[in-house]
Amino acid sequence: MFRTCDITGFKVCLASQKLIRINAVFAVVSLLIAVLGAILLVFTRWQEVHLLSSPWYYRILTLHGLNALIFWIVFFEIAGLYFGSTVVLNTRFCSPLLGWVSFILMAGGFIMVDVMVLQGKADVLMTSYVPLKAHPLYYLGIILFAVGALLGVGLFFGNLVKAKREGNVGESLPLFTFGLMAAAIIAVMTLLSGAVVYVPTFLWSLGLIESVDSAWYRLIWWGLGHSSQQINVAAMIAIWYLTASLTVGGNSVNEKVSRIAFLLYVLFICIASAHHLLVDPAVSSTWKVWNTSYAMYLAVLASMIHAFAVPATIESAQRRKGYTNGLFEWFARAPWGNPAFSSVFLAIIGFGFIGGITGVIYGMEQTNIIVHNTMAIVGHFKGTVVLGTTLTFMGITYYIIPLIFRKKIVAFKLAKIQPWLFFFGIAILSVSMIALGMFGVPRRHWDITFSGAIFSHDFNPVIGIFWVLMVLGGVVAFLGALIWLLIVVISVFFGPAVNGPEDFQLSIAEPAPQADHGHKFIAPGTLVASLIFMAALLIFFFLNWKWLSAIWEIQ
Amino acid sequence: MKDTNQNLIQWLALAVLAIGFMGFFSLEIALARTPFLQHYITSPTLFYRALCVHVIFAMVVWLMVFNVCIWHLYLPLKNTLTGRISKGLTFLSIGLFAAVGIFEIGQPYLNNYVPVIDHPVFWTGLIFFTLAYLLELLRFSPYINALLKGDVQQQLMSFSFLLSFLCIAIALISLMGTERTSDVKLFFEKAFWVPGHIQQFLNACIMLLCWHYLVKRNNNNYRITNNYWIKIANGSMLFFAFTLLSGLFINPLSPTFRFVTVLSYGLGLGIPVLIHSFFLIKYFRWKGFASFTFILSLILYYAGILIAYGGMSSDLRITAHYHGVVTSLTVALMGISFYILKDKEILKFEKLARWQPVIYTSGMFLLIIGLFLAGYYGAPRKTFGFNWIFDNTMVSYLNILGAGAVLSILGGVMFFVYVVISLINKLALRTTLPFILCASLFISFDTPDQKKFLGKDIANIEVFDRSGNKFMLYDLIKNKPVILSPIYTSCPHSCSLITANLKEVAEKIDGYGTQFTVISFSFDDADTPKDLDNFSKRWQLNGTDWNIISARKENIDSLLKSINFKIQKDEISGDYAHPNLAVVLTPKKRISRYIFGIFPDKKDLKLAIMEATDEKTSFSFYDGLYLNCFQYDVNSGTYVIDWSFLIQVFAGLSVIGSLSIITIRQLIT
Repeated sequence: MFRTCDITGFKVCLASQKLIRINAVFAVVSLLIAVLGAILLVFTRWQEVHLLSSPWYYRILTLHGLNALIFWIVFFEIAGLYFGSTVVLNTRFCSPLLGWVSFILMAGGFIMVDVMVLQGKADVLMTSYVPLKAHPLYYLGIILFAVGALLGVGLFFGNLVKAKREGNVGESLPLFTFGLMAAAIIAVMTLLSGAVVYVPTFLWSLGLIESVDSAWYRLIWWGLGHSSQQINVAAMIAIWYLTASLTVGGNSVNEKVSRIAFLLYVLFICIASAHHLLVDPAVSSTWKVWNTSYAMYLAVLASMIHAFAVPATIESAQRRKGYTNGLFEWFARAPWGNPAFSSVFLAIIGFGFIGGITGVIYGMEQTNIIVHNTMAIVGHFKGTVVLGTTLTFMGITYYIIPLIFRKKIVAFKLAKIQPWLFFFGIAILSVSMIALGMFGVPRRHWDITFSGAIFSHDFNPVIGIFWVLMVLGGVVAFLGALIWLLIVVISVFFGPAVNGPEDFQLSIAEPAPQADHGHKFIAPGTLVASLIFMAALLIFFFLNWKWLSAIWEIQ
Repeated sequence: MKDTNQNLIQWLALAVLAIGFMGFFSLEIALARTPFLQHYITSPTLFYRALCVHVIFAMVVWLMVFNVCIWHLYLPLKNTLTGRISKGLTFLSIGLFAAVGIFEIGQPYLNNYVPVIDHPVFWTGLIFFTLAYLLELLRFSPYINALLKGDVQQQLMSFSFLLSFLCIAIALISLMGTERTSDVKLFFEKAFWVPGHIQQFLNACIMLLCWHYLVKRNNNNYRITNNYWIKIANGSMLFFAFTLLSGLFINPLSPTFRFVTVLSYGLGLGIPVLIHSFFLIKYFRWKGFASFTFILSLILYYAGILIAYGGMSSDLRITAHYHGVVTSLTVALMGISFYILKDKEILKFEKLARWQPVIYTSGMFLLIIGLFLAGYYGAPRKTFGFNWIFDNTMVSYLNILGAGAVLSILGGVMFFVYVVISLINKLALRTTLPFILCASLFISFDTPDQKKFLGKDIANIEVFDRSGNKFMLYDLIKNKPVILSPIYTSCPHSCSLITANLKEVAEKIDGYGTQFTVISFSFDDADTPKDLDNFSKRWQLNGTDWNIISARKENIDSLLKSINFKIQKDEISGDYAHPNLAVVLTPKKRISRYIFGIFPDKKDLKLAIMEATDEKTSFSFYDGLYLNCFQYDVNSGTYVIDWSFLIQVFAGLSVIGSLSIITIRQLIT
């Protein structure tokens, strides 16, 4: 059951296409829930408005976290895994029936969890630390979702085996699929941790077992919690390489190094999540130090490699096309009119400069302690998961709509400015959250005026400015997200059909011509940008140590 | 060419809008400072608020928007999307600043350079303004390369770009880096100290550019393109601006930094401007309006400088000094505006326009002299009221000041009127209509704070009573409704009345002492247990049914904050300006209701206590409005019309109205 795509020439397995579509639709639905929750939260945290009551604040915070960090991203990734293992490899889906089973499990879990949270039976936040107890159906929902996702990941591997047997894979997988495979391997480890931690918790909530040790719970839970975000990182970077190839015809400047970097992710990134347990007595200091230093550095090394390789790929392709003037002509003359390209490039900038820099500094044991449990941490993962992953996924969707859903993108002009709106909105939101955290504003806190408490606390007067900035950023980002959601929903359900290449609003670039300049360095612009990045990282690094020394002054 | 036209004209319109608001708020201030007129402005918060917003418009918005005008005058740019966004943001920020000034929101802190009104609307305005300025600056950034190679004027242009960047960057770093203090005003004083100084260098750059423009205009004799001396002067200006960065590393309010500031102003501004002046006068020719305006500006500048070298301490002489140097720039900018309009052939009332700078300058000159003499005679700055007037000499100095203010406001109004009428047909306001609507919506949502605080817990603070015993406030309230009456014992008028009347009414209500109690809370941290004891003896407060307590400064602040009770201390007399009200608390220590005024009604109070017993809260809109329009006059013992409130409402309505009329006219034509 194939159709041959008249735009790309790929053979598209129809069973796979259906599964990709349905998973993508559910991803968009969960993002919608997350985004609506987000704007409510912004206006609650801002004490001038203080929109929600305290129970509803924690309820919506739980809802927002789960939908944004788990459902939106995993649904989208499953769609991506199916795409990368069937369409890209010209292979049929190994077992469509199991694909549907996986989807039904995930969708069932998703609905169950959201209903329980909204009914107020699971106000436990995303981490649901025991002894906080939610309704059993909440835990069951998460287990079903995790099992469904695990099955989906299994099917991805099944597809790879099938492709290999049918001879559709040459010497090795394409880089995009290879990156997805790294994400899939991390996903297996993550989802298994999830099963290990949630099954006993589920039984405990039913009253079948007496208690769940909270130290044990936290240790295993973070095997799911932080590592699941590393699936995002791997999948996001795979999409960066794909976009570089689709939009400017670039192929990695050094494929072997890029592949090794993915391998580093598999080996080290999961264990770099120890900063969540820094004040836990249950794990040893040695373990904490190792995980928050060397293990993390190796994972960061991988990110640095990618952060250099992807822009360098784009630069070298652009240079081979003749944009060779100065350091940055390739950048100025890049296809900015293509919303997928602008999304991905902005995501790279935001992920590196905001999420990346804060990630490295806050991941270290010593500096983590300054900002632990403050808004700065939230600012950090707005920089990574939202500015990086979500914006990347938004960008690649502009290709999925015409190629998989076979629909034209409505309001294409609006689509061109949407990435900018979302980028600037989230960037402002994220940076102001980081600043607020630096000034000691706690996270997950309904009322920072501490009204009625026996103590009072005056924050630095400057935070008034950052609260306003945060709200402005939040509103701009909300508009950006809403525009994207509307474009996607209207295009997919009501948009005009794509009947051939003439209806394709984006473009798929020809591979860039071979290089003719033998000894010249291929990406001087990216090198300069990397040096600027390193300088920013160093400044932030030393600033944090300065602040640390101000907190524990040594006389 | 048409594009350039648009940019220049539109930025000029924004600058004029700013100067309009600046003038409006200065009128309020001048009224409050002129004897015989001052009793029309009765609220100290209104005075401080008006002063804050006046300074924001004068020192930040007007000058910086005109900077952009000057840039467009020298370097025509295309009207791009970025340009439109930055104009829109500037417009919006002007609306937001005006809204903060007109409506009573946020706490004003009258620190130097960028006075702060701690409210999100103000911060939004400041963020929009900075963003807009930064966007426009980025559009001009390619021209920064004239730093070394360009002629004198190009060099000054590049300096102004560089100093603008520096200003914004330093403001951000300084805000982030300033250490937290419980004194909010001191915090912002420190935070804006260094960037504010740098802005003065920027202003000097712009003023010199204007002077060169005015002297060069219609003057074949002008030959200062590559003057060696002036280039050295420019270089020294930039160098000394950078020495101010040391303020980031040492306490900017320390004597060391004060020395650095005096040095860099003296060597980096005084001497370079002197060198510029020398050559400008050397090539000066009497050629009509331009040369005339230049001389006026020069006079004001050197008047301000003379005062500075004559020695200043912190009194009105400082105000005299900076009015001289700042308004010299304003006069120069007025001259430039004249030529912008004339060159575009849209100038109306040319005769009036030619006379306008003279009137403005002579007014300002009188004002400066009045300020200087009053300051020399001992008048303090930034103080509401006239408790410091000793004799008729001071009154006559202040009347010189008042006359100068009226004259300069007349000059300002003339400028405003002729520029607005000239611009009105050229303005492309169509794009700004949505912004105006948004701004007016924002303004109309100003609800009384009651709504926000009803039902909120009050802060549980440590208090002491007349015997000096310390305990927590919640322990005192127990599980009964409480009437909390904020007062201070040395209050010369209303606090005693409140206590007396409240006592009279409360004693008539059933259950006084058994079902509810009353607490007088002194918000004066100078009150000792002995003061409390005297107060309760005077009013026969028995200590069980009616208690009197006070607390330490920070505890007082947090309690007042939690009941939204705002006070303003007059530094000279030591008296407090405060609202006259009592708060009814529920047994669970939440705010049930505010009782306004000095004569509480028995029925109201009884109802309030009944509601509070059931943990209910209620909101009396009519009372709030009524008490806003009228104010209790202690001397006559009656309610009189509160002019300040009516002025605010009138100002708000007229701003919204006039903006809408302009826009609608623009849309129809």
